[in-house]
Amino acid sequence: MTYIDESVTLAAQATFGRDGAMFESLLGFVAQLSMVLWSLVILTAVFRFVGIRIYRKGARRAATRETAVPPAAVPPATVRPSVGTSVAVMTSTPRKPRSPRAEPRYRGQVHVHATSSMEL
Amino acid sequence: MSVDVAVLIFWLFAGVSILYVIHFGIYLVGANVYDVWQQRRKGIPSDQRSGEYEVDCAATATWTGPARPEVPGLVSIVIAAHNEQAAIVRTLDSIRHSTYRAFEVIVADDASTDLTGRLVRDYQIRHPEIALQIVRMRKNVGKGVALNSALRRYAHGQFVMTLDADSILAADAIGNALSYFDDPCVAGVAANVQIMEETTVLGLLQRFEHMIGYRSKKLYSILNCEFVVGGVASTYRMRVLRKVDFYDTDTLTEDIGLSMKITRLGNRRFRMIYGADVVAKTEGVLTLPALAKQRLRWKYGSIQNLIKYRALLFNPSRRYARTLTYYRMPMAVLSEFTLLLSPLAWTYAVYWSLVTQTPALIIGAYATITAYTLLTIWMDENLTARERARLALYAPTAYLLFYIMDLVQLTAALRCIARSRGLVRRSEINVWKSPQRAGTVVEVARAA
Repeated sequence: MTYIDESVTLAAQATFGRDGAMFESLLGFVAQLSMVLWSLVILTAVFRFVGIRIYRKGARRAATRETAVPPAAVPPATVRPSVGTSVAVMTSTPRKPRSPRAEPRYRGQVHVHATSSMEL
Repeated sequence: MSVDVAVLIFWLFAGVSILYVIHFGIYLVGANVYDVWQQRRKGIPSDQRSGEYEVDCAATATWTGPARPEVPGLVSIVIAAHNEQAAIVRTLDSIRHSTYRAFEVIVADDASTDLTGRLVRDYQIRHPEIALQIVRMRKNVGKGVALNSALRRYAHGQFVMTLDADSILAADAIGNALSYFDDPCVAGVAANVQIMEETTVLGLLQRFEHMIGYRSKKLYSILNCEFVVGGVASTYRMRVLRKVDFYDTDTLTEDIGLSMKITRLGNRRFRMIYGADVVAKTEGVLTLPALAKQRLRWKYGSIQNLIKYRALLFNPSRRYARTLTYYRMPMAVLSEFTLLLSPLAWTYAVYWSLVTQTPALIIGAYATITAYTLLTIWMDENLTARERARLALYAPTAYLLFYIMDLVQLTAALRCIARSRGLVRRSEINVWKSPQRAGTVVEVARAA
């Protein structure tokens, strides 16, 4: 075995401890940041469950109220065009009981077309 | 002046790590806020949901070019298909069972050489109650061109929903998608796309990835900075598509290209929104090479589009939400760079963890990813209790599974660099090849 009497100076020797300490301090900071963010996440998750429950209950109550009122008793009201009507047409339509969406049925003709890239 | 390289690397690592930890937290908080907003929205009658009409917003968009008749309330469902005999009938079946009935289906058959065309024609005969058309290209012209052809000439709907031939729609998906258009500024709705079967490790990986990826869209939707709308079950206003002249065909991901083109109009008046209740299911790819190929296409196309629409980055115009130009777009660009540096970052982190004998980083990362996956599963509104329990059992493997995806993504990024010329000088895309489908022959036999 060969022994070297003189000490060898490594380039990173002087900064090795410093870099390690910096890494550990970064870990500490990220851990603290994570704790803060997870707390925020848990808080919003609680708000989410509570909020969803409140809105769901409200919607259920409104649905029950609407089924109790006969449709004829509901006064007509001018409503904004929904997706079912063209933007250019503003119509005075009676307010409908809350339903998912008007569902007209479309029966077009059965077609087979052929096209080529030249036509495009 | 000498630069301390070690300190520079440290601060780079620290900066990106802190940024991503914050980003991750905001994801989760944003998703929770979205869920409450969604429930509140559902409780409001559609006639009271509408926002203010503006001079040039999505609902009042005007275009130069020939005016075409539009049937109010009609949804044109356009399916681009190329050799999809294994899956096309299942897709048509799912549309037929939709609870929203005002739709027409247009299959853009891009010169399929298998039984796709015949199966669709058989379906027309067996189900005359559906307005089904098949538009056949004489030669393989590419997905974007095939879709453009079908949309320009044959679509009559006020709305357009695009669907892949290997995807199925939930029965209430169309109706739910249309409910978002009560807001006149909504130009397009991104669907909640889930992976169909996950009996394999790859399937499970894609399932988790889709669940987490789509959950992040909730934040972007709340902040009005979504610009990536995929091709599966995404719905647009026809007038907006006419305004932007439909799909561009010079990028590999024509769907992202379209959504970015619409976003460029100004995302305050032409909003992209994520509909968590617009559920569609799609097939995952079956093999690792197929996954690598798919991700290369996605990444290449995404980078092409980021370069093409780079003007959105830090754009101070009031047409755009600040969250888009100063947060979402820069983060999208940054994520491409950090992906490339991720192996170096991990080597750095593992090295210092070993040297300082601190396992906190590895344990912390594992715990965070696992908790995030569990939270995503727990809060997914479309899972049954049984599915939820089953996926929760697999959640501890998610951290390891995502390493596979990171590797695939990294490979894709490196291959993009190798083909960097095409990222900037884009040529027309005029061919496509469908990935291998898991669709069974039973569907084919049933239809034949």
